[in-house]
Amino acid sequence: MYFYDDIDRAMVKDRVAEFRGQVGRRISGALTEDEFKPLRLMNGLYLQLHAYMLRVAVPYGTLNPNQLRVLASVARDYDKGYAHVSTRQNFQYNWPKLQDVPDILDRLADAEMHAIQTSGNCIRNTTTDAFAGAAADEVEDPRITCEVIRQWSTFHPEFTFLPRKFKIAVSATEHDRAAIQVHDIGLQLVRNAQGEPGYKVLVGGGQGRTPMIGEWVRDFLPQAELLSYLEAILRVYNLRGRRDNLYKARIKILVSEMGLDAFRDAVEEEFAHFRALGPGGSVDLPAAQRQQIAAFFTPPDFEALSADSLAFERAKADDAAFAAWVRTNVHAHKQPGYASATITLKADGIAPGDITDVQLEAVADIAEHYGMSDIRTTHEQNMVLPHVKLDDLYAVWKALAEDELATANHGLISDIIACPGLDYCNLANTRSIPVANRIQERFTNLERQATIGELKIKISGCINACGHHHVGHIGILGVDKKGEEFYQLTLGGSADQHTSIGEIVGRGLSTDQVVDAVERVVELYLSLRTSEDERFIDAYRRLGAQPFKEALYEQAA
Amino acid sequence: MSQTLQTQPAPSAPAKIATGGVKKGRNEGAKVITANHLFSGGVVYWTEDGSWTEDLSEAIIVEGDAALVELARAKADEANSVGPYLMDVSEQAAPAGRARLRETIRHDGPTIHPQFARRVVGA
Ligand code: SF4
Repeated sequence: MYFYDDIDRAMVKDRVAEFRGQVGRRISGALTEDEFKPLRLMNGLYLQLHAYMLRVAVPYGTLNPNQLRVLASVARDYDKGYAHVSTRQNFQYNWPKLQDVPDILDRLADAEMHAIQTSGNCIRNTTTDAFAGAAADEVEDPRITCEVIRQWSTFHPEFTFLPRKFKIAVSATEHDRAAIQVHDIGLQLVRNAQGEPGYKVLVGGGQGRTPMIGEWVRDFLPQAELLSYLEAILRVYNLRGRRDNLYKARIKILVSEMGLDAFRDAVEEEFAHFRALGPGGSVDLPAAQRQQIAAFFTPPDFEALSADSLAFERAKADDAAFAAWVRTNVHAHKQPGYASATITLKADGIAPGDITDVQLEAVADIAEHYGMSDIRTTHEQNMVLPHVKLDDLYAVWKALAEDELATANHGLISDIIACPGLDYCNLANTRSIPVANRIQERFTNLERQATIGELKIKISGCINACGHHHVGHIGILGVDKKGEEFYQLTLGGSADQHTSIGEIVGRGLSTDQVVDAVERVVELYLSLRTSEDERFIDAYRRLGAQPFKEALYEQAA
Repeated sequence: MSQTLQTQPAPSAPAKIATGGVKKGRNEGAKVITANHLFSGGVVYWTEDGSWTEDLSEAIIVEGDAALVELARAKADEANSVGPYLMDVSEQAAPAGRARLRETIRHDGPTIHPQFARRVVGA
């Protein structure tokens, strides 16, 4: 992973000192709240319903054990003993006190973490595949690109006050696990006919109140020209994006209002300008520097192992619970004898994405002993140990189970994305987490979940769609009806390489109706699927909305 | 200052007010002024003596123009609070109206993590 150099260290420490001064001036009365608010937001500090919320950046979701232990210590010393993984692969604390935040940031800075650009109208954390560096079919480790983007976009003076926030995601595999089609910019690493690496570039995807799937603006962008091209896109957006209407300020609206061709032409014009400025363009990264960054992501020292592990096979045969976890939570690795393991943060009754201080430390220990000290967070609010020997998987599973981290439900109906909703969020219409918990409770039997197979439920407490409901196989959107909580179901969304926006299938359902409605949809799917291999989303695409609509509403009245 | 700015709204025309979050409400009925405490971020309510309390039962209940006057006083207390606004309450000073659920959750704490429920001193 990337390690700070002296410049990074000094920059982050300076920023903490600056914020310490700003907090002090707010408390002394030298700054009003109106003056202070944008400053605290630039340091990731929101004010929610009950308390401040601090969002800590986890660049492209990569962490080491020391960082996890520091995150755990912050949870213990300054919060209520837990932290929360967000859908941007970041960590959030729900209860910090204002005067403690500079100390928290100092502690994070010592472990090479910060909260810069986790809020505000700037370029946010670039996200990627949680299996980066482990996936068999990746063109190269996508985190190299993410780190290049991180260095370019951090404190970029031109892009500090964009019309709206800006999110970039990178995938290096054909199978998209980074939801690149619903980002402001999505980059897919590819090779051209000559075998050279480059990018397919998507622009204008997004969720929120106007969900849109990104449009391809470039089929092949040479790797060396990435920053010129990104800078061109951002410049067009910065100059032409709407600032008169908050709801029309994202780049997706600009692309749709300009039309794809006109937008592309404008970008190409800016791009040509940059390219004309010199070899490699004015902002492109010299090859030597890219190599320096790439060196941080050289694969760890994998052992030469056989693709088969007798110990692993024996453990699976002897322990059905382990075998079930392997089926759902263990993924193929490019290196023979290794696997990646997902740690779902979706145990029954827990807020999706929550993890306690003790659990964080347990994951740190396990990663250190068995996981080459590499840990990832995922946009599905889970964590991943990307590099585990097959020989060690049984020990890993047992260690995870000791801290209730071994639920065998990755990708299943209880592996729900849910935004904080009205339990925490100032903008919420309805609660999200209790709905997730009630669905988990209804489908608590893991065998039943396994029978249902892959089914992604995503829940947002308002139209801002932080819970990604638009791209849930079953999406649930909370709406306020005269002060009562109602839930609008969408069906058929998906966030992979076949991204689709879910269809609204009818009127909102009351809190009491929503779990029954989900169950009816699931039961209908089970009765209609052609085989166990036909996933919910496949069946929905084959059958269309109608039968599901009928099942949903005929009994919900 | 222009004449227009000096003109007070007629008392009979309820003023549009923020009710927290992104919603707007009308200044009609019984209100309590609520905010988040500057240091803790915790939920607080405005009292008759011009200070903040965590205990809703100690809050001053105000109506009409008096509510706007108190709100202005509360807003002036930037040293202790962030974002004061008027919330609807019932005669028993319980959260009421459209934002009842939101204000109940602000008052009681998240409905998940019962261990983090808000403990009001003396309540
Ligand atoms: S979707 Fe709405 S309720 Fe949920 S976290 Fe985002 S803004 Fe808050």
